[in-house]
Amino acid sequence: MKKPTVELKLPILPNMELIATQTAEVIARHMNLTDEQSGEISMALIEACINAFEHSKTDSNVFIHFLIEEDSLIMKVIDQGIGFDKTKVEIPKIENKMGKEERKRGWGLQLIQELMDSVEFESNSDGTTVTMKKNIKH
Amino acid sequence: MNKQFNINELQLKYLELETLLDITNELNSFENVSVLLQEILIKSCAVLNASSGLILMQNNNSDLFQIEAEFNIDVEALKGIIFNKKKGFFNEVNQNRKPLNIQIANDNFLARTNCTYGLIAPLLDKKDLVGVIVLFDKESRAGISPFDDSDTNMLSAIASQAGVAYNNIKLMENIKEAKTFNDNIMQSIVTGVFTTNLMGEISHVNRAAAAIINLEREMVIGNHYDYVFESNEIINQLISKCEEVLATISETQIQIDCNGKSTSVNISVSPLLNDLNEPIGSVVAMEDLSNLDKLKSTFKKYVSKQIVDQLLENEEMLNLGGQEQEATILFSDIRGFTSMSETMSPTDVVETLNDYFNLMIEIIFKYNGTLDKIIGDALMVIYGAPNSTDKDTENAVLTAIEMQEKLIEFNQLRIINSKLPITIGIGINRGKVISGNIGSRQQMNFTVIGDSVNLASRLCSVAASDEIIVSDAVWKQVKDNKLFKGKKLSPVKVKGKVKPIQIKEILYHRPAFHYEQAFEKIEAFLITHLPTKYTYHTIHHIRDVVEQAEKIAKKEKMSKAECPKQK
Amino acid sequence: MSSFIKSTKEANQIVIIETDGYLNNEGGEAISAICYEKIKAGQHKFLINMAGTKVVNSIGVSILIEIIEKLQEVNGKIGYYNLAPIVAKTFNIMGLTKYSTVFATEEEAVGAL
Repeated sequence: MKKPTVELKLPILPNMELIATQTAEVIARHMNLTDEQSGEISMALIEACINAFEHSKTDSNVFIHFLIEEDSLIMKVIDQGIGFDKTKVEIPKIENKMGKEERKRGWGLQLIQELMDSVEFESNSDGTTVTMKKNIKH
Repeated sequence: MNKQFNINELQLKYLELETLLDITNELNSFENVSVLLQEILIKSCAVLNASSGLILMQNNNSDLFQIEAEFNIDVEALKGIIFNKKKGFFNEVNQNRKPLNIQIANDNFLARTNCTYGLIAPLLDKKDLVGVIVLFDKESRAGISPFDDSDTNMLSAIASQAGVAYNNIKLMENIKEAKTFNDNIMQSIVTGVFTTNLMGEISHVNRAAAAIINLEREMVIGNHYDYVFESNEIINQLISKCEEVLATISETQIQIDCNGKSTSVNISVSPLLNDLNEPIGSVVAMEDLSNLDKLKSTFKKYVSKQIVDQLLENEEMLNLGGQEQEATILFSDIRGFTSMSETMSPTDVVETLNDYFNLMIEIIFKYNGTLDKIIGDALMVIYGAPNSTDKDTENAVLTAIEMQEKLIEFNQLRIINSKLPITIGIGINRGKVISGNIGSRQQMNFTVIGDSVNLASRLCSVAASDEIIVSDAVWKQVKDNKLFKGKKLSPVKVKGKVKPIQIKEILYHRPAFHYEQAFEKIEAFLITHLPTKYTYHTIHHIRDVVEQAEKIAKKEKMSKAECPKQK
Repeated sequence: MSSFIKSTKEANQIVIIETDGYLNNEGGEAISAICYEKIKAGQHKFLINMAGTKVVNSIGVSILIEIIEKLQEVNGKIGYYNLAPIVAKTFNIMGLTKYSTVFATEEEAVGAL
């Protein structure tokens, strides 16, 4: 049986990431995930969406794919923006952010990596795909 | 004005100065930054009678200090305090690089320490602020009191000494780190490297070099290279030459016999220079050409990557010394190249040959052939050595067919660029050969020799342009392949053989898609450029016309037996 | 007052702010506006009741970092209670818990501040 997939196409408008989290919650319930896992997935998704919105043009879309597998949930956040270089991103520390204007930025990747079991980035000037995986233990 | 000091004050001053001297001496004996800072703090608190204190050091990425040492402070209270060098008291010290005497109000974050009075002194590394030392609440018989000017001067003096000591330790740590890093690199590399000083004594040697020399590293260091390398005169020669010309000297495939071990190496010697570019010795690098590497360097240029990998996995497959085996040999050469090259400029000749070889060699490697040699415009390829499969002969024939086919496109391009087309003849034979690494120690090549090889070459010279001529031995192995046909030709006489050799010409079935591809290009061109008024029905009708024409043509060329049955 | 702030009250010299909804950039700005206003008026202890906030993002949370820094200047403190587990976890990952406290209940929070 083909593994079920849910696909969302989001416009870049304020708070659109909440559509993704609501979908994620339904999927989490369907997969019988714990509240903790559901919360982690939603949070990681929010951050991935915010990043995607940030580097995309306002008239483009961000696509989200949920792949429901037997022992995991895979979420892909795909944008058609300008891309980014992961090697140039520093691991954020609260001490380094204090006193600086850029304190608001740069937390997304760290949060995603802490909350999900594996994360992969593919990015070039035509767009970025962030693939996040949560393993389900039975 | 005369300053009057009473005896007690003088004694106190003396004690303080003595302590400062003590501290100064001690500071220079610390190896470790954390221990140093802790000691400084404790000593400072003791000398100045502070009830508690902190040393905060700067963090490169952030405006916040890090707590490196604390004395008698409630750690819980410390937690959660943000020491920002750009805020409040610290900012003042940071800007002025001078100590600051402070009183802590209730609404100041330092109030969490439950202290009232403070003294902050900057720790400087040359002119830069690297941290601060903070002392709290001076204790005296009257209770807690603020610090005074002489305290400030004292702390300044200590801080200044501390800054110097800190700087030194940091330098030491950096140097050690760099040295360790370099050492690790030296030890890890596969090439043997050793350095000598101007007197020829070996100062450094890495693991790989020690292995070649066949001595423990400790036994090598300090000894003269003449002693270590015994009778290997070449080392002496190379090092001397290098010293003379002050440039890198190299030699390939040198045999080193050292302390009972014999190794074949490529050596290069370079002058070792100091900061002022003065020679202080030599660096010798030895690349070990042991079996594995010899194999790789021997074969890298001649076979595809797959074969090299296969060989590395099955070393017994390889007998470089020479073995008798069956193999299929392919020869190809360019018809009339010599006369053609007389009409071309030398640059064009080389360019043509290189383009041609690039194309052909790709095909050869695709079918796992071993490129034996290139002789002028001729190619000799072996199938079945150094490793053999049951597809060797088939691969040889497939190579030949693809070479001819790819040549057609190659020539089309040449014609477009106003160059003469190239045609080749190919000969293939199978039989017994002797294979091995043949040549002198300096110049060795893997090749095959024998009668079968000579015959293959003869077949090639018999082949006309565009022809692929094979012997019976080859045809027997491939006759069942549907991709091509064999046409019997009159037997040829070969020098040294009494009986003429039976030969076949391989007729290759050129797939239909060649002209199909051309048609698609033309169709696309017409769709874009042909005005609609010139089309019949629609532009796509041209495809219908072509298909019909194709059907008619095929029918005319077909024999009765081949005609498709009428529906 | 922004729709994100459900209510603000003062008790025992602590300003207690109750939030409602998604703590994003706007939500963060709403909290910080109240805090800075109160700091000017002389308050320096703040508690955020986040029972009504189930979703946060890192931008909203980072505004809390700004508030923590500002409070340092007046030797103030900030704490939070009624956090959803994922919100508490996020605060932890972002380092807020080093300089501010997550409490389990209002009583505990008020007692500690």
